[in-house]
Amino acid sequence: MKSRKEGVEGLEPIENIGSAGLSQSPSAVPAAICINYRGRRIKLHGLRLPPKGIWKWLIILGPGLIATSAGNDAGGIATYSSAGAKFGYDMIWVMVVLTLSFAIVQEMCTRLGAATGRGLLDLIREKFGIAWTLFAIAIIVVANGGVTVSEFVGIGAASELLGVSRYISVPIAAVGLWYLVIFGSYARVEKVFLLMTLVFFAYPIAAILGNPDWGAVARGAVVPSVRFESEYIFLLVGVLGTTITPYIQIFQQSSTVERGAARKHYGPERLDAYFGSIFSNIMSVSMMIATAATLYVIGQHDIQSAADAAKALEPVAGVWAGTLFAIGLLGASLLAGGVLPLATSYAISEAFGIPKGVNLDYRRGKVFFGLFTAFIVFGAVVALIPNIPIFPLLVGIQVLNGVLLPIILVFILLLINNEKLTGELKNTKTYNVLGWGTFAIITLAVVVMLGGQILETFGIDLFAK
Amino acid sequence: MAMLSELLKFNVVDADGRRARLRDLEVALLDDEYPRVTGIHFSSNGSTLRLDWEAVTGVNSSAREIRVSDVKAGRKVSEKKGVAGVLLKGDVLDALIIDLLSRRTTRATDLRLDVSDDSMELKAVDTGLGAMLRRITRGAFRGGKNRDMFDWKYVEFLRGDPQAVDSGAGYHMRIGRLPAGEIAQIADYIPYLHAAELLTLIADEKAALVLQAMSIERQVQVIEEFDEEQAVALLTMMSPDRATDLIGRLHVPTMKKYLALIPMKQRERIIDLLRYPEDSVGGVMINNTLCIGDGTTVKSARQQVRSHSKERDFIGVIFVTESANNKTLRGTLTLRALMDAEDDEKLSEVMDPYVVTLNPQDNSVDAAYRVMTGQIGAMAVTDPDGKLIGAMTIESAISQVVSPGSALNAVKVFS
Repeated sequence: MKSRKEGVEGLEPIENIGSAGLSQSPSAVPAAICINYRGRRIKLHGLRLPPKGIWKWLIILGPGLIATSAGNDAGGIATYSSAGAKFGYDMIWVMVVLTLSFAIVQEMCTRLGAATGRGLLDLIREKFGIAWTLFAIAIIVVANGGVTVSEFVGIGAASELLGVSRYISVPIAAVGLWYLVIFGSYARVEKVFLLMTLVFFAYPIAAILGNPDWGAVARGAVVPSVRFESEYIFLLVGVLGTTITPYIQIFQQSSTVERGAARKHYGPERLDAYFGSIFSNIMSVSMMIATAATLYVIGQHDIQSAADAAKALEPVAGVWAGTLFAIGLLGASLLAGGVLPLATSYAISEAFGIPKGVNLDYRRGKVFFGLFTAFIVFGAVVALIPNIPIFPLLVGIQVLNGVLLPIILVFILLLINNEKLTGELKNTKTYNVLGWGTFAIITLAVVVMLGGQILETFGIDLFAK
Repeated sequence: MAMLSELLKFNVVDADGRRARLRDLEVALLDDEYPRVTGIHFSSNGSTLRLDWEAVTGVNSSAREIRVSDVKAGRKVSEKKGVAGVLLKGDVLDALIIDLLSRRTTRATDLRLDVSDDSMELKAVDTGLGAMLRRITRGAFRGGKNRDMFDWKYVEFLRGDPQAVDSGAGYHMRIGRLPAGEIAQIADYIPYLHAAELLTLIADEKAALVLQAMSIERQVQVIEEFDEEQAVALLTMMSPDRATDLIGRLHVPTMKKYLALIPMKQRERIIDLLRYPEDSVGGVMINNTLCIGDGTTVKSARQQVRSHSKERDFIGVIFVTESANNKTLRGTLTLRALMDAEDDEKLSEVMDPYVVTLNPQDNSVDAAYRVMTGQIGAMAVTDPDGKLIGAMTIESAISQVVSPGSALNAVKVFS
């Protein structure tokens, strides 16, 4: 006690002791607003004000751009490249029409997420019961598992085109994606995924390097041409199914929820959905143009995979076009390789009410992260099996997704029109017309695809060869 | 005992042999730990009718029949008006539920009811694989494990509608028994409308504690779901620093509106804190610290500590200033030191005068490490004249250095 008194006597004035020796100002003084309070003018720096200029628009981008871009995965690149190589510019109009449908469906999912704060499988379970939920989950698990394998196959193929063995690239990619999601926050994962979408610019550049006939491109975009040939019809259905896929809708809705979108301020998310759909389809059209301008012209019509397309482009459009295609494939497969396991983990967790989200720490999200880990490991390990028959696998997956897609679309349309759930954010009449129209087209396409495949097994061909 | 999935295959039969299909069972959740069925819903001639349980004359499980006096006496259920009670199939089945014992969420796949001749009681929720198989096989599968059953006594179910409580919907109201931090943990990962609904089940004071323990993103989503009066009440009851963080994230017009409605004492503290950028010490400090003049006796100081302990941001460090009005910092004193000291000693004699202070403009992360490595409960923040304006607590320091998704972001233990 005495020593403390001594201490007081010897005390220097506090102000002379100084502060803790820290930097005197924070890294940047953010913008402030002024308020008048009791005759005083006070500057408030502690507000989280919305960004200005280009950031105001860039900050909007997120789940919409990521989900739609993930649709341009290894399977997507193969389909679009094949459409260009087989039919030149004739299928571009399909993408133009499809962009509207795609944007409508993606926006509805975003709106549903913001209006309810719930993922698609949450709502399916709550409103349509356990049987539909289990049906959807079973297909999602099998189909997404298969597509995940194809993404890692894509990573391996692309890296080998760039001179790196798949046995090095696939494990590195798997560990990288796993680390990003397990140890990152949602915001960080979103930023990395958004950066990955930049690789898609490789496709417009590859298209330009292919020196296309832009007049023919414009004609192909605005003049519909339908051929009643089995190859054309099946590729048309393939393009439809590749563009609008259940996992894209599931991921978009769940990640919109995780991003924190709320019904009171819904709006920017809509732009994200529209922009993502348009961006993604421009990239798809670029793939078509790149192969139409080169492979179609020289009569090389048979493309089975994205890697095939990249290899075939090199001698025709130059090394850079092939390399860009390979880089695009690597980025696209990496993005989808992260999105698919995430979408599946979201879906399963939502269906069973398990805590979900990248923002959870591992202790709280063991099941969610366990599912994610299992899908990544499964995809990477199976992809490394030599001579894995990826093409028949993708055909099977396409059938499964085809069965699920119309059902998912009906659910989305019924849910978004449920006023108790969505309130003021329910569909307008125009949206309903476009939404149900999309459903009709998709269902018709799926029926044609499935019917054609069934009839083919009996040796009956619906369309001319 | 019977499972709801089996009961829903029962018919409602009256004395004249008229039959109708049972559609749902209604319970009053607030009535009991194990709520009784208070009404039955059944379909007849294309519409849904309701009868009070009193109209039930018996239950014949083997014949799968619920006997009533007169099926025609059923009143039509209006979809718009809804029902006063909770519907087991319509509201609870497949809904998100919280098991309060394990503090985890799951979905109600089936419900177990105690069935006797004259009553039915909701006993447990089945969440297991057996329940799923039972439902998709329409009862052909009869298995299931007890470990997948959650005792209804410890279950809270949510509808995802923050206005449901105000519109008179029934709830179990058990969630409020958990500590605020644990409720916040749950509220952080369930859908935001469920989280807002969850807060409406808790008394305001505790709801404010829960709200401030949630992640800041979730706080914003939740508060926007409340009406102005509820939102202002919660902001008033929150710690000023946490209320500031939240209000600083709202849209500017909303922020101004709320600030105008918050009582003056809290409002001034919030405005004071809002002056500093988020990544500065001023942006993360607390500003309702206890400061006592150095000439005050220990006895008087103890009384002041006691009255200040009711404040939200009560911390274990007392800041000793030149006087009650002149906030020039002279030293600090821990609660332990205050307890140890003699009643008649002056604070200037027992305080620790060797105080390191922070500037409100200092970088918050740098300062956070300083507070943590110094292993002190709170470090004083002073203006250039050496006047105390607040303190950076160990909790604020932790929140600056943990990852954004961590639950430790909202820790509030020491104050």
